[in-house]
Amino acid sequence: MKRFIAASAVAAVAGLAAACSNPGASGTESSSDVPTDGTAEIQAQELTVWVNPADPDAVMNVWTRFEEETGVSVEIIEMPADAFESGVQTRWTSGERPDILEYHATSLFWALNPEQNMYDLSNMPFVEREREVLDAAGSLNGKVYAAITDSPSLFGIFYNKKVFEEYGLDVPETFDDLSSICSTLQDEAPDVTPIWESGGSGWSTQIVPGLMYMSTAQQDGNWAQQVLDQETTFDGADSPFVDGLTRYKDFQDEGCFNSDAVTAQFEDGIAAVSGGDAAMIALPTGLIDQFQARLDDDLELTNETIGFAYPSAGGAVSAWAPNVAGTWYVPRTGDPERESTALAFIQWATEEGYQDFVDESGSFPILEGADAPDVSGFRAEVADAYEESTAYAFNSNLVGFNVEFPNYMTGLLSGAETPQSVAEQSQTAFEQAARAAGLPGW
Amino acid sequence: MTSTTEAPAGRSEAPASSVRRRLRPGRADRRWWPFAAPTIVLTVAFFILPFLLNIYFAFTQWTGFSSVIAPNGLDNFRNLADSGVLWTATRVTVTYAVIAMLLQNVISLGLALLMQNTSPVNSFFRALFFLPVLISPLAAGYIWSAILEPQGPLNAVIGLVSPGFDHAWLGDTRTVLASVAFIDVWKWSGIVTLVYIAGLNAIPQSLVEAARIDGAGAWKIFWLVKFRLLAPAFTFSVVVSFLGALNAFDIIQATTRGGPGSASLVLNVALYRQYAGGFFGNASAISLTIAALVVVLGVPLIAALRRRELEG
Repeated sequence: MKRFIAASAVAAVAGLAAACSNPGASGTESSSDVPTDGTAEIQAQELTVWVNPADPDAVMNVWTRFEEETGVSVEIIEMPADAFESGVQTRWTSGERPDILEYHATSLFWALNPEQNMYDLSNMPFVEREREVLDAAGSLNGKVYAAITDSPSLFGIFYNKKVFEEYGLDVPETFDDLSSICSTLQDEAPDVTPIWESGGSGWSTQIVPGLMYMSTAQQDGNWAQQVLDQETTFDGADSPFVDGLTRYKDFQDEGCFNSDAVTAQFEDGIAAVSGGDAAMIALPTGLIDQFQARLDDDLELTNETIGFAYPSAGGAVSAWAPNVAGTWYVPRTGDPERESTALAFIQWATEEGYQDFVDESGSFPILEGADAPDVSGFRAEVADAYEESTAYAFNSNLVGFNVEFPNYMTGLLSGAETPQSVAEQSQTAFEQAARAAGLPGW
Repeated sequence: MTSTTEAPAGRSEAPASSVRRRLRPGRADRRWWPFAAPTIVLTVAFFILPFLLNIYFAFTQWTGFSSVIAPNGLDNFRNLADSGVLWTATRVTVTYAVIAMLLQNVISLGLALLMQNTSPVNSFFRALFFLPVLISPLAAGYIWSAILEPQGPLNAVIGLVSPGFDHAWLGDTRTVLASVAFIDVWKWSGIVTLVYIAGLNAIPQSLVEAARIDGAGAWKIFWLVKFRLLAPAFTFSVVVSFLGALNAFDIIQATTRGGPGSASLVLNVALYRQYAGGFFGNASAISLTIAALVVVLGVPLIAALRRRELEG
């Protein structure tokens, strides 16, 4: 028995010692000779890819075309839809790696320890063709890790054009305009919900008070970078963040939201705006297909019915953030042949295979050198918004805060929190995470 | 006669020496090893070792951002306390566990009393009430989310009596915890009911009849006879439902994800959020808090209920 106890103790100590090296950080140096300048060749016949199950057909068809043109067999593994980030994090932390990972280009990918676990793609030819985007997203400490191929999602208001036309409403450019539209509809169309809010979905509650309102501060002075540089705080005096939350709460108090705003789902909001029961809903532009599905899958009818507006605190500024779909990383797996093939795929998807993807997606190209598809209606409005006035979504790189923001917002909607208490919690969450993540200066 | 007295004496010697040999330390004593080893190995591998690692990681800075895991003392607990998560989630967890335990035992005991006797009708209802136990907790959560929506079927039924009733059961901080606790009760009360039925049927009928002959009414028979003799079943049911609720996760994640705000933020949901953000040290600290909570609350509870069994 004594020997058993001693053996158990040894096993436990061995386990503790082994645990001192992070299993999720088990990158390998053995494959460092795989070229990352776009000259990597196809050396394996199989690739494994982790993808988001919400990927549109245009992105999924990239894999099909790659298989047809190269003969490489691609095994697509879908991560769980409602636990995408934690699902990836769990498998990643246990040391499991795909050959290609589709994931966020925001600070969420920093938690995968890219310096240790991913290929630096800075020398790939595509980088020069999307430098502006990669300055903000998909990179860390000056190194590019993500190949972002889909056009970014813009965050703003989807509005029902017919409702606006019927009640003589102008497209909103500021939060005062939103307030005015709300008053008009309450007086003239009490059955129409002015703004649909979806507290039950959680994530969508970040858009109106955060992404939309803060775009002005982002465009004027890169507010998020000021927070990262410790030049301002969420809860400081004259904080635009507190102002945004206050305006949002005012909308709720004034009855501008649906009565079930705390528990409603965004899918119901899409149905309500498509059908004219609600005038507006704040969502990312990538969801236009869901409106079209509600409108008999008719593109013309969708363009006639749905418009895109991007009001912010001080004028029309849309917030952009990279899509998960079509954002690819090459993890270090320790298998040089598969790593080389994965890098060859990135080269193919950003060069030879890119125009076909752009044509099929119907979105404006994010990489220079590709011809924009001929689009009209909603998609043209989105392309114009991106060209005219846009700012990088303020929460993208504010670690710790960005995962908690939706929870704070449901607290605000339910009355459990105030704008100031949310701001204080946000600052605490960010500071703790910034220190834990070892961000420069923290 | 002599032979009859000697023979047993002779037979009694042989077993006595055999017993002594079995009790004496030696090679034969180790024959239990092959039977015990698999259990011991599995317990060490899947319980003791992870538990020891959990204790260690709770005091380290372990994140997805870095390849280094460094001891950091009480920093994880300090961070969780500063952000309010530790206290809020502990309070919510204990409140949730108490509500779930009370509701579960009161409802299950009532159902057990109603369905105690074995009959075709009772067998049907026993099976019916056991069905939710077989449903996935996530599925139960999604189903009840739909039922409890402001425009859902529950409010529609209440609306027959109170027109226009549209309370957001899961969106109101005053009702969300009781609502998710109710779902937990609905999901698990089938098992607790069966435990109480078994306990009730183990009570000698003669005691009930004696009490009835002594003039005891239905309430007195229940309270002074049945409830006291149910003590072992009561201990089991209370402890299992309470400690199970301290570890609640799936139903809450499927219905509210800890919201609105942090109104239903139990410790396991808080742990999940930290983990998903890549803060594994913080997640380990919350996990250790749950383990400590189970010990601190569970051991005295079990001790008190066991004492009650003996005294009762």
